[in-house]
Amino acid sequence: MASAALATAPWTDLDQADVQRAFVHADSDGLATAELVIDGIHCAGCVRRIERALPDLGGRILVNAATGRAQLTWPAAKPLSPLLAAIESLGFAPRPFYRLADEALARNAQRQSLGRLLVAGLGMMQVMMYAVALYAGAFQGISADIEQLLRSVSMLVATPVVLYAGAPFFAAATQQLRARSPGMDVPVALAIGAAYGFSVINTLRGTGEVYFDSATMFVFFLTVGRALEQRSRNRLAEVSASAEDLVPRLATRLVNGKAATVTLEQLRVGDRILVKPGAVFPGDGLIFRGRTRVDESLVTGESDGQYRAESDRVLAGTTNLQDAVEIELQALGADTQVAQIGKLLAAAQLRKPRFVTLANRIASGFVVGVLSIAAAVALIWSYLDPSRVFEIVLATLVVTCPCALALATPVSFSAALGLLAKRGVLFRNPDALLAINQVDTVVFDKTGTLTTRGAQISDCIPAAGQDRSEMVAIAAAMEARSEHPLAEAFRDFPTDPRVTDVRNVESQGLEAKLDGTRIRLGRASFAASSSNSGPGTARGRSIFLGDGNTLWARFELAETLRPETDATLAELAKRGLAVAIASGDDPSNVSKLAGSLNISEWHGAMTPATKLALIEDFRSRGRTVAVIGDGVNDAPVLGAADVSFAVAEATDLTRNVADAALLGESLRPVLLCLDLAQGTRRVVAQNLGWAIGYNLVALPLAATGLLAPWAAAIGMSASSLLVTLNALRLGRDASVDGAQKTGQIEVPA
Amino acid sequence: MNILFVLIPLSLLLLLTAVAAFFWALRGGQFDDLDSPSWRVLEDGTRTEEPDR
Repeated sequence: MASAALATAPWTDLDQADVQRAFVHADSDGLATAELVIDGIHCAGCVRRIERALPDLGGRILVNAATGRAQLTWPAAKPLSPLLAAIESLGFAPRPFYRLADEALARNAQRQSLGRLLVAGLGMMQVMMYAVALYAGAFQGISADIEQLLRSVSMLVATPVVLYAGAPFFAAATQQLRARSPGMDVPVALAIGAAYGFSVINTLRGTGEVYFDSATMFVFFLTVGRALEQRSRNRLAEVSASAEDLVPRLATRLVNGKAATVTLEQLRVGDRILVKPGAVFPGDGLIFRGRTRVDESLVTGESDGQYRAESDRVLAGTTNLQDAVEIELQALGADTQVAQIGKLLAAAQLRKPRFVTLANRIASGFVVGVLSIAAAVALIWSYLDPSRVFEIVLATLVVTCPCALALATPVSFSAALGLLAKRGVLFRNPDALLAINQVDTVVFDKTGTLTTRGAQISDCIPAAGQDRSEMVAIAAAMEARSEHPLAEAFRDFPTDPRVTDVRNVESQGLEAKLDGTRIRLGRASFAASSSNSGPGTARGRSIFLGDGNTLWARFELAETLRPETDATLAELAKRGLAVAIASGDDPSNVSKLAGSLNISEWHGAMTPATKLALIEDFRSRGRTVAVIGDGVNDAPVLGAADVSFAVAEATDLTRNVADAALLGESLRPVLLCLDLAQGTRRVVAQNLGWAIGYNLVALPLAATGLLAPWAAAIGMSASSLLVTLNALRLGRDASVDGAQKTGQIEVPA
Repeated sequence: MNILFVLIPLSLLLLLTAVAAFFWALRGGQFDDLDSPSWRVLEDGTRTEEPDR
């Protein structure tokens, strides 16, 4: 996991001025501010703990709980590393945030959107008030100069609303017309433009009706819809790490036996560098001195340390777990394997077809229809009664304005996604919610996705004559003093105090002394030289305890499944979805897990490329695939799937590629997504049905001159309100108690 | 009713002030993080002070 890899890197690297230049800026008064991202923040309590811990150390930090972004301010003269170490000791993983330019762009876009929303809102309210006065005047009588005053100020206030807040709609409409694929924005822009333009003309003429209230109201409603949609798109934190961010910024270069610290940019292929235990390899290379274990989970997804010795290859982004090694660099930056994964990902994303929503499909036909009808109406009335042409065409355009259509979808999505966010699923891509309805195959990664990271002792089988708990205690005592990745699994067991002199034997296991006798824990051949495997045959992962000659016990290791995985997979199968596992792990382990979960289709020993091929094979057979994964090696696969989910502990690269992120430990929220996807489709269909029905009735009324523009405007706003309220039903927790019992919510019918 | 010729422009002035104030707050970054402040309300105790020199 990327954040785990970086967390073990020495923080002192980040004290160097060269490195700090990229993420620290100096403030006044001798203070400096570092831009960070902190992984592992789940709630406000986490933020509070971090913010409270720092003042004692002389720093101050401001954390955004939603995104994990933080600004750490501290006296520039002092080192940064103790503060970062303090954050780490609380259980979080801070890292420098380098993407300041991108973040600034996104922030400006968001601010602009909010600015437009406010101008539209305030302007609309003001214009409505003037309109009330004008309406009252129309019924009760009003003097001409006051009427003209009201018209003029309405125009004055409506102009920035239409031209500034409404600009995105006009821009989109123009773009759509130019591309000859009219979407929702064309009739919207037409209606706003017609209402506004017509009213301006009448204001300048000094006579007749004005419809600035309608124009500003459309703009406001539509801007709200857009803002809601954008907010749900931006919800998932865009604090991604690219492959580049996963390698350290400093390295120790060896020249003629002398070590010098250099930055990443200064490294060249062919350089020899020293990589200490706990550090991340900055480039692909060959070991030319030393042996160690390497955590390659970044690339293969499996966190068991792999033994590497002289002339073995190591990869950039992987972590050196055990001993210092000297490597000769063979590939840096974009040429590294990790970067290749990024390229695979980009290519996969280009090939993925966009999911076209029903509303968009209706839009084109609708637009053509509306324009033709309006043109026909104009033509006919110019013969019948030319004085009424303008007003009737306006009424026609206004009444058919697809405000309901344009609002129905964003508001439905916003409500559904809001509810999902409350339940721990963050969607980055709203369209994916509807795509879920068509999914018929779900592919799970294994390690880290179906299982949580970390091994567990599932059983201890002692040889004849040995006591089980004694064996466990001995093994626990040996593991307690080692950095073996499996030490974790033995942590909770009592240790045998007679064990001494624990030492690590590379590639084989641990050796120690028990009351003077040599004991060994590790591979079968290491623990007992006799070929008789003793207590049963090993399946899956096992380690053995022995004295070097005879076997004393076998420990079986199991992976821990995420909570509720059985139930979730069973429910998926019940709903008719095909489930498959695609894993980089050893096929025997994968088969074992698949068997215990009753999954018939599974694949082991997969690389990112073969996983990708699997997904594309499914899709070429016409299946719609959802993928759930966690590691960087899953990123291209997630990009190619029709719908993709990343689990909470996923690397940032993965989280940023996936359509949605599951924040909790359980996989059950996936079922909730299925329910809500159906509910959303239902509500969108209802809204579309209503909008079309309303148009069918209202259009003839407007075209035959029976509907005044003000009535058309009221009808349209009522229609919009109705669709909005209907869509908001999706966000309601229909039965919270029921949900807690069954894990399902009742989606409004 | 001629007083409207004074009152309405006055109300426009107020509107302009409101919009200006909002944009000032927007530029100052007050709307950038809308989620954290709601949680901060639940904090008890003092806010963090200036770091020591």
